[in-house]
Amino acid sequence: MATLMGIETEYGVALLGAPPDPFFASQLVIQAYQQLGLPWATAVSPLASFDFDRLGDPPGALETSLMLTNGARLYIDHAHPEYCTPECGSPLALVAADKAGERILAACQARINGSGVLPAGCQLRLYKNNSDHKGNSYGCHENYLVPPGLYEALVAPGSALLARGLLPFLVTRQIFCGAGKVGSENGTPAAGFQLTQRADFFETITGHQTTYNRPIFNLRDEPHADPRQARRLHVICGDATMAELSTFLKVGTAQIVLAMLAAGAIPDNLAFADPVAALRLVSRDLSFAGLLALADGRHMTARELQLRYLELAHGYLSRSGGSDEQWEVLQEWEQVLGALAGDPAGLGRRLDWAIKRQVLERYLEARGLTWELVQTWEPAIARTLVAEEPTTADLAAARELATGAGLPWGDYELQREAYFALRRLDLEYHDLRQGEGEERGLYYELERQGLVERLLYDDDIEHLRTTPPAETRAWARGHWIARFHEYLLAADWGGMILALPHGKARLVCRLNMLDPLRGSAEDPAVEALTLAALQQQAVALAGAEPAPSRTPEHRSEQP
Amino acid sequence: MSEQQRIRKITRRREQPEEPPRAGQLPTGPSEEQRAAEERLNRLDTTINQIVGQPQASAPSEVAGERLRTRMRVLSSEELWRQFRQIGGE
Repeated sequence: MATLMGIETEYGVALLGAPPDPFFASQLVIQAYQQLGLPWATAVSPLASFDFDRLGDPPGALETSLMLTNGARLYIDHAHPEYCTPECGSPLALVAADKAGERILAACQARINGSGVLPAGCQLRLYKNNSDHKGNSYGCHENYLVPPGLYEALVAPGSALLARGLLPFLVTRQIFCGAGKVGSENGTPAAGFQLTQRADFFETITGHQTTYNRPIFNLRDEPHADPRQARRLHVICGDATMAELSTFLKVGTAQIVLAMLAAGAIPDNLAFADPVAALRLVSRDLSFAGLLALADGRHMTARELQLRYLELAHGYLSRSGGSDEQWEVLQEWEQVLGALAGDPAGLGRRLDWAIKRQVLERYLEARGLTWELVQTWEPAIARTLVAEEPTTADLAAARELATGAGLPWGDYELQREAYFALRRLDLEYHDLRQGEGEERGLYYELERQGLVERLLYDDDIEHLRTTPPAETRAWARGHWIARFHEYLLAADWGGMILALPHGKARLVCRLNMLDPLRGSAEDPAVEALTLAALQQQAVALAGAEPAPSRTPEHRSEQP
Repeated sequence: MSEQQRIRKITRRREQPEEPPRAGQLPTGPSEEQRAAEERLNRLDTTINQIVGQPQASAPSEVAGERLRTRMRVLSSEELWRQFRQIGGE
């Protein structure tokens, strides 16, 4: 079966120049979208939880969750704005849908900052990163539609298929899809630079939770589809990526590996002795030569493990006939793994961690600093950060730490400046601003200067900002939201509830969309469903049994 | 335009290949590729310095501080870091 995919990104949100209030800031983002002049629907997920007592509510009052005309969802998750792309059928379409999300969030941000809604001197900032540098992480989750049999095999307690077939891939793919990070968090040992934002935060192998004792592999079971037909695999161990190639490889390789697992095309046992330890080791190994212990006593590098997956993928696609785009994924995968063996710096225009590392190392080089020096200074600098201004006692303790490590205290100010400058560059890399001059985040400034490689045309990204991708039910969702938004009470991934005018009354009906592959641009039913047709069907179904998939159920309501 | 006409296939961007040097114009110094790489690094350094200020060896720290404040209007790197880390977890 086709493996549909989507990405959910929780954005870091900050009100610079004002007391912290991330929920308020997130609410501003949702309201800003509602003011952009595009249709939307109230998102209620799951749709079955829709409260019919809300029928009398005025529409749009303090919404916290929206479904958009491009088939995506924008909502407040805990205290972050979260953007969920529509379902996509190809990696490149998903990269474009993910980038379209960045543009939507950036437009909301620009509207808020230009509207005068914030006090003078206060600005809202959105960052597509995964950590607040204080030990809190927020996610970028991938979703893959998989056959029920594969899903059950992977989530079964003590799953051998998960341990030997999927975890080794997820743990080692950081070498090409990590977003890069300065320093360490969550009580882990000091680090200068890591390949990923998230590795410090994973503490166990499997679990249902996502915010504490964080598992590498999440067991959440919310299919948003008919579970007999397909299930949603929820992958939570990835980074939010800016570079188009990083995202392309992240989702493109996972799509192929999941298809291989479904087909029984990964015969090897590549299970780690300790997956959590391996995840952290890979993130901190900038030599790409570190050996990881396998459960059977062998040792392999992350790159060697990825090469094995690549080899198996080549054989699988040769036998099964992959799409042109899957072959392109394989080609890029091979090139990147090759570069890691010889010239990782050559990836400095292509992958997030490598682009960011190049920026940071240019900074260090110009100031006569090294990662080793920065890392050695980190405990002493951190000791001075407990209070807003370090006390005499803090400085004395820091000095003791520095001199104990053989560091000259005379360098303290320089090192302190470097500590913050490195973190600023790290953070600003993920700054979504795409305006003119200084109103542009670092990644987008590098992109403007041609210092990062592109996979996409701007027109394609812009297209997906308002229009859904063509190959999945997102097409129907987006078009029906645009067409019926004034009658929509609620929508989610698997359907929508409408209140249709019916004489002096309203006829409430529900459209079921539980088959993710129906409702694409090739489905004539999408265009054929007009308001008149919908009214006709709903009236005809009044009093009937629950309707089959993607035809209206009815529920009448007196005015 | 009907909805069906708005179907769009997302295609891979192809970088324009750089024009090869013409006959009689072969470079005598560093190769075009080297020059382009060097020029890219210079632009990268300029971008970095616009964000965090010049290295102290090449500019007084108060100038660096002034540039830094221009970039973010109000916040130093430390202030930005302190304000950003007020946000919560997932």
